[in-house]
Amino acid sequence: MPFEVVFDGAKDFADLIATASNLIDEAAFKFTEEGISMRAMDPSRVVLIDLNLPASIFSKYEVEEEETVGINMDHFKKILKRGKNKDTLILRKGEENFLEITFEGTAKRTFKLPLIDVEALELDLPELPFTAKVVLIGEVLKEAVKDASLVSDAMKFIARENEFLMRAEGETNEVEIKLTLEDEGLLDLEVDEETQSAYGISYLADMIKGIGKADEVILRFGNEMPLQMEYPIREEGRLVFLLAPRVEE
Amino acid sequence: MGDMKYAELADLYRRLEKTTLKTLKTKFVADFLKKTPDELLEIVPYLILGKVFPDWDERELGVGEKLLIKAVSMATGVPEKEIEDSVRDTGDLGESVALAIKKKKQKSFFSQPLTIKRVYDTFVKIAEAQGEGSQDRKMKYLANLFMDAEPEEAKYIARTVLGTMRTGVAEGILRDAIAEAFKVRAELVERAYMLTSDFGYVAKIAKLEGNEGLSRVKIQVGKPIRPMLAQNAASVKDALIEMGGEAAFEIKYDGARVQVHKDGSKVVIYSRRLENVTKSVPEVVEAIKQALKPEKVIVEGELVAVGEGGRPRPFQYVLRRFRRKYNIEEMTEKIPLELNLFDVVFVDGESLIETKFIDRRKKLEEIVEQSEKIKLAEQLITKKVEEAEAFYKRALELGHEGLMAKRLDAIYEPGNRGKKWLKIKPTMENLDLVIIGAEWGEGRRAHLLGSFLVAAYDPHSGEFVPVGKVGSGFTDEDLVEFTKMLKPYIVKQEGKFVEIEPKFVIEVTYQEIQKSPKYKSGFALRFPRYVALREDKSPEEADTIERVAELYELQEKFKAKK
Repeated sequence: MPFEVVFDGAKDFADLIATASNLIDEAAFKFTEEGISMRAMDPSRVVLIDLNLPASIFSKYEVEEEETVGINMDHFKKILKRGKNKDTLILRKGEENFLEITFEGTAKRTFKLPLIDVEALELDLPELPFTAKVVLIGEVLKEAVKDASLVSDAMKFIARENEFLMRAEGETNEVEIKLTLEDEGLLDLEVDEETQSAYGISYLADMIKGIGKADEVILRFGNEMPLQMEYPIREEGRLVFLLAPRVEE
Repeated sequence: MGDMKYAELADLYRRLEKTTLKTLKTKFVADFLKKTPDELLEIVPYLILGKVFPDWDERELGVGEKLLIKAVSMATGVPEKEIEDSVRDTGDLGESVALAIKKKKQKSFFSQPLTIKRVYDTFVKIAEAQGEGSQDRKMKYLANLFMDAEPEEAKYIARTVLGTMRTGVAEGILRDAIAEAFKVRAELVERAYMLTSDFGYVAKIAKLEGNEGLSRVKIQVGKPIRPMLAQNAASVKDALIEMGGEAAFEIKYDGARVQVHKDGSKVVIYSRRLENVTKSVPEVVEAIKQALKPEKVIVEGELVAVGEGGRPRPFQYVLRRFRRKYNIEEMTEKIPLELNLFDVVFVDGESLIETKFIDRRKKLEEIVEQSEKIKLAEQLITKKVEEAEAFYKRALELGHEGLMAKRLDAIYEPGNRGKKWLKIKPTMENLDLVIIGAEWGEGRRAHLLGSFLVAAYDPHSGEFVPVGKVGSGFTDEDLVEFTKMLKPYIVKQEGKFVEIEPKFVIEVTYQEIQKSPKYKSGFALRFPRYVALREDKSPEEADTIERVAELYELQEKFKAKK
């Protein structure tokens, strides 16, 4: 069934898809009356991605009937990269098995991307008994992951009553990033009990690529439990990652 | 339904590794085949051999040690370097992979036990991943398997991927196991395999259609047939006598034997080892499309590298063409090829293997339109020794190896080395032998392997029995290359001597074969000299110990004549 949606600011949309494409090769996007959603898992099944874009963040949203389209993320990413910051992005599908991607700016440029068969991931996000919630600004997390990657391939998140620590230990070097509510970078901290858990840096690095420096990022985790990372898209939309932990024997 | 835990296959590998008894191995494999569901029967025989696809299948995984270690690291969170270091201790990547899995730190979502189908399907995806980013995708597919693998399963997955399974199960055991599992006759299993080279297909027919189905198996375009082989004759005269007074003599070209399958516009070329070499010889493929008239046909011929003045160049040049994967265009000019066809075994739905040789040759002449690149092997049918000898002389003058003599009424016997075909060559034949050991050199060459212990194959025991040590005939570069090539396959070291996994075949010339108690084989080569690396041969295709005995007899006969 045909649909047409319009998003102002093509680059933001491109960043979003670029982030997801670091982790997954193909994805099934579900277009419903309420909005667009996508849920997928990376091939190693360490990261689960959940994207939710409500109709309200689009300047035009016309979806008559629910439809799922399978997309090669790498191709999609490359096309979206061609959009300029000020361009308006139009995603359209007619009766044919193509997604039309149009950039409206100084000219009108339209790509046709063939759709592929992708099995939609039919599962609900697990309800996990997280014991810590941390709200950070994007820049802090981005810098922390870069710092840690100098030292090791895994980093530990530690949440205590009034501080949040990120720590990495290599064979010789160590790094610790410490935040309290006094610091600008930490916006909120809710801790039920002292919580520690470690995560692979290569996954974290892929997950944070699309975060804006000023974005609010919400982290939730538990002892040796998955990390849920969430950040808003145009306020009402959200991108959620669930990352499985590293455990020490 | 229709699937099986990979753990069961891993258990089979483990048991096969533990015993050296052939009968026990056969029984283990047979028991396993019996419980294999029909849906898996076509893939399991190859997995048991430690392969994913038959040799003649073009697909390959294209995963090296480095990429495999990366995948294990991704799946476990154990750093790559730690796995590499561990290989130095265990001496075996498979074991190190198992250790890394035991230490697994990285958790994942929705872990599921591995099944044989899932492992195989993943292998197929890995093989088919091509183009930009394919290395990364291959790695992720593998990581996905390692994520869910138990340590032992991971060990055997790693070995399958790298082609280093060491269960000692070769074709003979698999054939007997299929017969035992499905209560069918081993010679019918053998026959069906010789015709199709496809153990998966044969196992399935054996189970579902029994002896009757097996005896109905026919040649199929797209599945290579095992080539009919020849024994040696001491002279043209001996050959004529053996053939009953009249024979077809053909030039024995110094090239690489190939089998050509044509199905409409699709042409596939298999090497003597039945590997798909189609892509490496595009100009021959084009010429074949023009030259072969029938829609569906299987022919055999000798691919020869043509040098100056049309003289043949040594067969190694053809092998260089086969190995080439890039800039093939450039090679078609550097090493031009010519195909000399000598047999046809299938034409438009009709198998010709029961047809007499002389009639097959007639058929071949009918269906081939000769061209610059595609020719018919030069042939002479005669009863006269002098005529045959003149032909033999001319073949040698033209720079070819010698002659083939073929019985006019001989049917085509796939895979058989009988007396219906004989080869006549001027000197004692070189032997293709397997390197099973070596010695470190001295002084300036202390870091190089110098003297190589070579062995003939004993198909009955599946063992490689030594027949001599080869130290001469190598250039300095050869030794550097051999050392690099053999090092990963060193099994153990005792003083200066190292034992090497039988993997590489070399062609060896020698002055004579002597009876000797020095080696278990009872024979020793006198003055052996290295000639060439035979990358076209697998260890099981090396010359057999029977062949050595036969050559010894032949040599004694020659001596008696003089």
